[in-house]
Parts: sequence; structure tokens; C-alpha cells
Amino acid sequence: MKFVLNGESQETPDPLSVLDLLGRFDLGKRRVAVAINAEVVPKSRFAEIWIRDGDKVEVIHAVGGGA
Amino acid sequence: MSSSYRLGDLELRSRLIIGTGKYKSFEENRLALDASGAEMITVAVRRVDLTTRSSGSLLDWIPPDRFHILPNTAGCTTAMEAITTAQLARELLDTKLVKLEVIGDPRTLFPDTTATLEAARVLVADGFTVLPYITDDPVACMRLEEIGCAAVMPLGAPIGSGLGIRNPANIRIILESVSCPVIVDAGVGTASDAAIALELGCTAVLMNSGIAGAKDPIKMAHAMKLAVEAGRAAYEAGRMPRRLHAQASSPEAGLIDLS
Repeated sequence: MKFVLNGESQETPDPLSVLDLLGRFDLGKRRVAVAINAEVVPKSRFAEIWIRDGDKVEVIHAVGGGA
Repeated sequence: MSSSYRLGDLELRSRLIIGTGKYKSFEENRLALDASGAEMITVAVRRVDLTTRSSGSLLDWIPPDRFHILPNTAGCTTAMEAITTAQLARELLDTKLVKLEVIGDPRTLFPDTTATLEAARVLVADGFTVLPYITDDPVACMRLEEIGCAAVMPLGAPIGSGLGIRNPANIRIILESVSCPVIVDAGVGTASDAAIALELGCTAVLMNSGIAGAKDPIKMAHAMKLAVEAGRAAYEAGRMPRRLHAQASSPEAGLIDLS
């Protein structure tokens, strides 16, 4: 399965939930939010939403910024 | 002590809202925040860097339980980007607040008014407390208030320019044209600029570069705290009328004759 994570192509042989994906990148304990194909994935559903072939996944966090 | 004010469901006392960009370190940012007395700070949302996993997080230094976190949509250039960014920020930070920015031109960073109105409409309907960055255009501000924004945030001068309030007359017209809070967002370069915004009757000022870009950001944060307090107190006190000619403040009667 191929998908795009924060603009970079990724490939994995296994099915992957959002929770699995965050764990794989060591982001499980970080405060992040996730969108798949520009749709926000609620935190409460990270374990049950699966990445599908061709998905565009964005993982974001808060950074310093004013305007 | 000046009065408090409301933004959506929040009651705030500090009339200074500060950004979290351009600081040398999270620590400097935190010290400036403490010196400013601000109760609300704005943050950007960006992609997590997947290669540097160990870098600290802004929110470790600025705990969301101690400050109101105002996520912004800085960098968005379409209504759709701004809407999705606001929704991601809501999920990330458990907040209804959003500083809505839709940039229309990368060189001037002036807002795209049409796209800002469009995004504001969607976000207000979605339950957000929308604080839109906008030009100092009274009609655009009136439209944003009609849509249901919790405040309007006209720029004083271009973002990061430090030029101060270039058109105080427009800010005054905006203050007469809307009944929601008016917050000057962008352009403040030094303490007197912030004081002028409050003296005009603005509810608050939002700034980032004016503090972070100073030689000593922590001292400037303190200066800005004093400036907004002084400006607000002067507004509430009501300034004396301007006169073209002098008027002595000592009595004219009883002058000593030394001739």
C-alpha cells in the first residue's frame, strides 16, 4: 500500500491504522492532529481509522507563530 | 486597574495578545510571555517534522492550561485551507478559538478579503469563535461582524513591518462602525504604537515581531504590558481637547508686579 505522509511517499505491506502510523513514527505520545485527504480525523477514532492506498495524510502540531 | 472584556465565551483582563514566532528559544518565548502579562497567545499549526523526533514542543513550555491558546491559520491562501487548518487546530488544542488569516499576496501579506469572509462564514456556522485578520477597511469589518465574528482584527501596518498604525482615522471609523471588539493585529513596532491603539479605543492589540524582534524581547514585552495599560487607562480617562493655542495652567490673577 502506498500513501503520502506530510508530502513524502510511504509504502507499507501491512494494513495501518492512524494509531499504528503515529506509533511507527514515534508520535504516539506527542500532541498532534491528523487529517486524511483534507478531512480531520478525531483523536477518539485514531485506532479505528485505517489508511487506504493513495491517501494523503497530514500530521500537524503547534509551532511558534504570530501571523 | 482597567476593565475586563469578552471574546466569545472568554473573559480577559490583559489587552495584549502575543505571538510565539521568531523567538530564539522556547525559554525566551516563555519569559517574554510572563513579562507581557498576556493571557492569550497565538500559535501556528504546521506539519510534524518526521525526521527530528526528539525536538521539544512549544506546548511543553507554554502549557495550554495556563494560557488561552489562539491557533492561527497563518500561511493559508485559500478559504478551504484556512477552514481545514482551523478544524485541525480545534482537534489539536480543544479550542473553538481561531485567528483567521487568509493571505492574498505573499509580498505584502495583506489578507484576501473575499476569501476571509467566505472562511469566516463557514467557521462561524461550525461553532468557532472567529477572530479575523483583515485590512483596515471599515466595510470589511462590518461584514465580518454581521457574519458573527467575535471581534475584528484590522492591521495597523503590514505584518512584521513595525511601522505602527498607519491610518488611525480608519481605525476610528472601524470603531464607530462595529460594536464587537476591535483588536489591532500587526504593525506594532514599539510601545507607543500599542498605546495609540488602546487610546483610540481598540479593545486589545495582537503582536509578535514588535516583541520578538526587539534587541531585548523580554524587556520589550514588559514595555508593551505598560503601554497597553497606559493606553487603555488614558482612553477610559478621556483625553483633554486639543487646542491650537496655549492656555496657561497657572492662574492669571494675582501675578506679582516686579516692574
